[in-house]
Amino acid sequence: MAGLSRRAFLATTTALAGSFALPNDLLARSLAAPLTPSGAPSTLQQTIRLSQTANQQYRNLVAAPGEPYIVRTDLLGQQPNPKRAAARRSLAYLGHFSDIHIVDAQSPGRLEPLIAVAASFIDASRPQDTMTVQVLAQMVEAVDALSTSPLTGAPMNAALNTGDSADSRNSLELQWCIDMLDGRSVVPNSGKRGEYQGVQVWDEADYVYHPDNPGLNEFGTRGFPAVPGVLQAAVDQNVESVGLRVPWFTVYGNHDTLFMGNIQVESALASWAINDRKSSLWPATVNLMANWWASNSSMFQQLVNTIRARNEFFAGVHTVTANPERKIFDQAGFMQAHLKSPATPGPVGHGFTQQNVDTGQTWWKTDVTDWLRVFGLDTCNQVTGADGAVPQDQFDWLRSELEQAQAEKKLAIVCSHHNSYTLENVAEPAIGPSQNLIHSDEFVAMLLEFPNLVAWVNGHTHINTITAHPRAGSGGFWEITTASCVDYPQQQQVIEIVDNRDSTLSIFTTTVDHQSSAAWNQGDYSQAGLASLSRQLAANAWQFEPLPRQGSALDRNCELLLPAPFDLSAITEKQLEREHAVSRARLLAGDVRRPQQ
Amino acid sequence: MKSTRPTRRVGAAITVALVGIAALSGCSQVKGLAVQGNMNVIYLETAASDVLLSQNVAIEKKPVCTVNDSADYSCIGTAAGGVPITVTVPDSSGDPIMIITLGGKQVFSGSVLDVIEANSQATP
Repeated sequence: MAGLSRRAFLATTTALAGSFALPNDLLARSLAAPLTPSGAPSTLQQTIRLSQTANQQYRNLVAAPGEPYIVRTDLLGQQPNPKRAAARRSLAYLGHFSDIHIVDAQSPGRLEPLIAVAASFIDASRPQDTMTVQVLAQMVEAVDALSTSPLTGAPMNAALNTGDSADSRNSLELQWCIDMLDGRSVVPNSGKRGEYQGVQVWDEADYVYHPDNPGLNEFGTRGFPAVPGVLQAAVDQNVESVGLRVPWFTVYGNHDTLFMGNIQVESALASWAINDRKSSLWPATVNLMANWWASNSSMFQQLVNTIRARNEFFAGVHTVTANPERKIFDQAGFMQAHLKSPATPGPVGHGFTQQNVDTGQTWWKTDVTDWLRVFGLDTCNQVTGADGAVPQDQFDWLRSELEQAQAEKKLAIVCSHHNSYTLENVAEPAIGPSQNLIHSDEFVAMLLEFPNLVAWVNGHTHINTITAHPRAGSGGFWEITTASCVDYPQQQQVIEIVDNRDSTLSIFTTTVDHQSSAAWNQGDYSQAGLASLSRQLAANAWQFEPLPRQGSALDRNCELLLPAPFDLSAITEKQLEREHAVSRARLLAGDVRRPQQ
Repeated sequence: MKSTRPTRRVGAAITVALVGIAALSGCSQVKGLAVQGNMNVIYLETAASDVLLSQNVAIEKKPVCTVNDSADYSCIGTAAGGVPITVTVPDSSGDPIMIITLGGKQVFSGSVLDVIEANSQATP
């Protein structure tokens, strides 16, 4: 440790050993070792692409060469210093999750027949719906394996989750997501153990993929494989997650706010989600609606009796296992679920506090290190629509906070669910009464007032996208959008901020594939096998436009340069090494806690 | 500040056009419904960037695309030495062909969807 004196090193080690309940000598050996770049699997070494051969139109995935970092100078206004690689020091290293979309595919509150009604409900069913928990578990394993930077060897400080944790506002979906990130095990079955109860085994639901019998519909003619028993295997599996070893923070996504990310939840839906009737056809769904209205308002009873006399409205209603834990969560419930999370990896609330619940303030700030402040926004609209906006009160709060962070010489990152392409929702009131809504241009212009704001990190479109937002004159900030866990390519990312010690800084982005084989091996129903199958199905799910979602090479593994917003030597070597020591001790403590294989 | 992004209404209109285009072109993968705002602008930026990278163009500023109320797409970027990059889509109602120029010289003319399709595949 070059920055700390021997005495300071010993004092730091002793203090951290106490804080993290680690043996002093074990921690001292670990901290004395130099930072070494991780060789854990990443897209720097191997990527995944579609095979050029196909069964009809269905294609397997294959391993492809890794992608080195591409240097992007959009905001620099000059050629980068070729000597910067030898001089760089890591200021912060973060994991970035987004659009996890955990699906409880058996919930009656998931209205798959809506696919036939409106294009905006296309994601009411995906072929890989039953495997989202397995995908997240394998993604957590991949990101955790990169807890040491593949570039500098710096330890990860924290992870950000930019929304859409649950797919259908189902409390179990949200809890499964939290449990996977925290490192617990989950059996992703909200119904009857040993059985899958849902549209993918009901023949009349001819609009979805039937892995037991794909020949029923277009999925079969396109070459989707027969995978008998996979649905039962997926929902009956005890999914184990290694969990993150770093604090993680979360924000709301539109799927955490509106039903299927688009519409408000009616009390009827809240009732169906926990009960024992699930519909597979649209007329049956209408029938369920009518029944609910009748039971809550006698004026409808006569109409319902008429409807019930028509057989077509009975077809497609199935009895499933009721489960009160599938209840639809509300805005406060999202925060409360995170507040029930354990202290490790923490923090309890994952950005939210009891004060947030009490006041209804759905946004937060946190200092990830002494020199990096992260702001978590809620850009979701509570009325209607998938896209978002920034309500005036958050806009004013963020401006004030960025002014303060700039005065304190702190780097800043804003994270939100929506990105600059999707911040145009005009439905009001989005949050609270009479909120003016700020859209993309005005929001970006405000962010550009603050040179210390170096990145806006987000998701929503399920596409890897990196956008430069230049400031008049020079500089600006980078907008970094990651793909999702649910649609192809099922990638997340790690982000590292480094000081080049030449009045510039670089942000390195590295895309991460989940830990599973590129090509699915027929019959592999293991946890990693199902994650692999999920990615392959997603790559072939033509309705979801899978191929553009990987973005261009300029949106994946990149070095994003920009002028340093202030003299970064103000962050001393001593401070930096102390921060690295804290983060390394945290990772080591996480290692020690894990059951040995 | 002048809008740099298309409106949702225009984006939706173009989406409809591109869906039709994809179906006509027989492209098996790159078709469907863009259910969120402005996806086609992202797709165009993606395809244009990958074409330039495949031609070993040193990109200083990644092409940024916009679309106006007449559904005219255009993108502007910069290559090394400040050489301007332009991308146009002459007819977004038919097969979406993009034309890329570098310093005023045409360096590519071809299907947006074909580029995306090709870049998603493993090279032999």
